[in-house]
Amino acid sequence: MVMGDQFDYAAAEDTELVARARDDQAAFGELYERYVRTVYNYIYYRTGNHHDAEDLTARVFQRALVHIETYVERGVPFKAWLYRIAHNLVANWHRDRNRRKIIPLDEFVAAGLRTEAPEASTEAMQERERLLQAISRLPDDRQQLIILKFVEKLSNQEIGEIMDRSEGAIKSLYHRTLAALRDELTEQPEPSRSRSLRD
Amino acid sequence: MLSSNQSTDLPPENRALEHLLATHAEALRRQSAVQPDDFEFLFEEYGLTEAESVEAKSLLRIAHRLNTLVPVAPSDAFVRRLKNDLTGRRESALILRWRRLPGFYRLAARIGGMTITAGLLLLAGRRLIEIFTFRQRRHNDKAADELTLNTAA
Repeated sequence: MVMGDQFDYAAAEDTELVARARDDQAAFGELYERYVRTVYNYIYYRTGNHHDAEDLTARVFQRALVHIETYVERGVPFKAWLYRIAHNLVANWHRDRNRRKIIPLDEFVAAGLRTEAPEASTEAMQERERLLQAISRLPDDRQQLIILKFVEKLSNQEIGEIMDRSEGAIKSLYHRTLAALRDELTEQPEPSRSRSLRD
Repeated sequence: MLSSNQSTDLPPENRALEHLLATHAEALRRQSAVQPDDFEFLFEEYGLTEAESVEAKSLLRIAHRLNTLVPVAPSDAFVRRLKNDLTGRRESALILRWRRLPGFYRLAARIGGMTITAGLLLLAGRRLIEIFTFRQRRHNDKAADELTLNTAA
């Protein structure tokens, strides 16, 4: 979309920006602004800390910048392509470190509970910690599905494009994921109630 | 409405449960989902058996718990810094990359640079000495020749 002699980056479609991004840094900058937060969010949930999330997010966009000409030929939506790069980098990160990060209680957990009474906040935080720990023990593809569906609020069609699966396969995976998560939560011991709740 | 289920190898009752779970998830996404207390009419609508209803109830409760997850945002400083690194001027990007290198990498780079510089200086110095020595010798030879001529005369 062109306004006079100036190209309107904010109003342009992803495909337009990708085509310009090979020679136009501003076009890539617009794509970056659109997706840096979603990519970061996904990686944060998969790694559990800001430092690694920043490092891997930077690598996602550096890789995208280097390979953007290759991307154009393949025809996958740009957002889905970024998620695939992120997923692969996170998988390599886990493999290199041979560990699964337990997502720590962080300010984003507490932030949602500040308005509640302290006793309720403690119990809610414990419940959320159990949930996050159970998620972190799931296989990579199930973790990815949960993050894309419940944090990023993506549809099954969008998730299917990212994970390179049909919508029906995503529905089946979703069913199995919920069942696996239920089993994980059932196996976890319940957190002990605080003294203030017993009194 | 839901798109057709492409998992055709599943028995019909599993597909009904999958349809229910998918519809419920979509409603959660649009913030219009049925609350746990109202699940029963959903099970009737999808024709689930009692056993399937029990299964569905536990899974739907899990979905509601998952719906409490919230996005985590990066810091504005990080977003700005990375954007400058990706799209900024080349020299500033190099400086930023240098600054972000681990300390021992920068130390190794400095030592390597100093070694190369010292080697180049040695080579250059040797050449200068050779040139100076050559000129000095030529000057001495010329002076000696003049002395010999004067003596002969």
